[in-house]
Amino acid sequence: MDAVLSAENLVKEYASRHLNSAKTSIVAVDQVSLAIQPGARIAIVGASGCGKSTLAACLACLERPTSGIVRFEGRDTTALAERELRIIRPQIQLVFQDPAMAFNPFFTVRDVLDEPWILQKKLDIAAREECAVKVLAQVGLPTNLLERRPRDLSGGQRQRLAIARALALDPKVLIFDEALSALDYSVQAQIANLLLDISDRSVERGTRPAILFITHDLVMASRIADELIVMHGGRIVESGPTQIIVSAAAHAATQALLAGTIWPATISDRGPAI
Amino acid sequence: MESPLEVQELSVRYHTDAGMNVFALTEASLQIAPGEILGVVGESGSGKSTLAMSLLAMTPPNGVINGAVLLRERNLFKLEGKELEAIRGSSISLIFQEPGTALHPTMRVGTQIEEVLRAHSAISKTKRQSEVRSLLNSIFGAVAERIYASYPHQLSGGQRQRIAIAQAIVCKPSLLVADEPTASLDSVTQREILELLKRLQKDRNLAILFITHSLELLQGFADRIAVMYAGRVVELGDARNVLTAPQHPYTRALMNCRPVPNSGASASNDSRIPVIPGDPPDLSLIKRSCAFAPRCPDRMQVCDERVPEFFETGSRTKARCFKFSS
Repeated sequence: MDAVLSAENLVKEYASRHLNSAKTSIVAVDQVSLAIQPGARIAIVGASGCGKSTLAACLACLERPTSGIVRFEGRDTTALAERELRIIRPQIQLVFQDPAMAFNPFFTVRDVLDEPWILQKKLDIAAREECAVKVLAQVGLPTNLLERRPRDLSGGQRQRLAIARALALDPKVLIFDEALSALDYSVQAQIANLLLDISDRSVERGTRPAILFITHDLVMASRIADELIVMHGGRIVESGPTQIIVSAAAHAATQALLAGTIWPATISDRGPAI
Repeated sequence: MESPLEVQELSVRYHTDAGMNVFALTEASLQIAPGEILGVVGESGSGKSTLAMSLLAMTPPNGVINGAVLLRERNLFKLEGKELEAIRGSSISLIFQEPGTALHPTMRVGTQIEEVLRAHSAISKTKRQSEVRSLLNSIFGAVAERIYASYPHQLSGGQRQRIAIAQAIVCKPSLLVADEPTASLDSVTQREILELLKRLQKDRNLAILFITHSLELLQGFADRIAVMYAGRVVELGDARNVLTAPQHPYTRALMNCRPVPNSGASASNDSRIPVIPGDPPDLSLIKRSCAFAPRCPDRMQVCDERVPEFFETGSRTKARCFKFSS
């Protein structure tokens, strides 16, 4: 099957200029190539400043790469005009770390969900109501939240709403940029399970969204993704099936991410799962 | 050597505009020994930040306080403004999660550290500068001089947090309160910060109250751990015991939420991560029962009848759970 989203030799440079100093450029993403198959679960893992968020922005067609190609369903998006990108962007949805900043504070939950349906699909009120009930159920939120505002929701509920909004347009690719990092552990586990539900393997590959999980948390990444991509200094330094990378990390950057995250063996008796 | 700080039956409730009370912290009692790292673990709303702020008598104006925080047998809540100012930053200091917001954006970081010294001591400017330089040297090594003259925006998150730490310890306090200082950093930088704090604990006999939502971060770092839930300390004990053999059902459930790395033999990682069923309780209601009972797998009848007191669960560990009442 062809990749739904791919990058070939992607480079993104940012110009930077300090006071009284020459103009320099920072290479945030350096010669990155990757391919995301329909319905895949992939994680990009790396420390702060490794370029993983810039890569995500380029893949989502939010940033234009300095050089290289981003292909969505085979089409080179870097060659497309802004008008054509607007048709592609809704199919690649992003969920960010801080759901409190992702919403207009004056919008109700219903407004948040309605907006893409009005703008992109021109749905009428009855259809929107039906879709809202469906998508809220999908992310495990009660429908009585529809008239509430984001500030009335808990952190976990807000992140569920962000995921519901991302799912609203049936995207082909869902990018989660540190979407769990700001949440409590007990809530992280709930949202992680939600991601696994969204990319449920029992659903046919072509009809479930591919998941790109971007994080510095290698442990959580290993539970969600089948394939890990480790970035360091803007480059991919290691990639492959999750189990192989976790059990035999080859690159120092991967080993550094793994170190200190593993419970000692003495804790193996963790009691019954509840 | 005397204990740098003692918290006695401390309760803090916030009076909201809507006329309600939020019981953020209930009857917390803790002692921090000199040079000890006490890890405080809890999730949002568990009262851990209220506890941190109380240790410097910095509770918001709508906070109603009962109990005491004792420093050298003086209750911080009974002190006047001037006396408190002398303590904050010199005897007890504080670092936060987001070091970027704690620093002045248009002041060189070296000068910002020096300001703390100026506020708390009468030494000359040259002396202050050399003291700050030697402190930065011990933290940053070769690049210390460049860091000294940098502005916060020129530094990475990890470097900024180290500056905040330098600011906090420049007056040689006996206790550092660290409220989630590594939460916004990646795991590699996190460990560098922990190593720095550990070094300070050893070199300066600095006691640290380290607040986090991550139990695993405390592994190999904390000496003792207090686990908080719904405003109460529910488990308290030796770090090793709490981490390897957690006793309170909440601590056990919290640990289970954290997945182990998936390196296992199974080809599929479709198995779901264990979660704690239900939601945290509403803190505006007074509980006459165990707050964790509705979510607890080991719930008994007595759990709904009264609040559990502390029971010994092993050597130097205790938990607020009726399971250990006999």
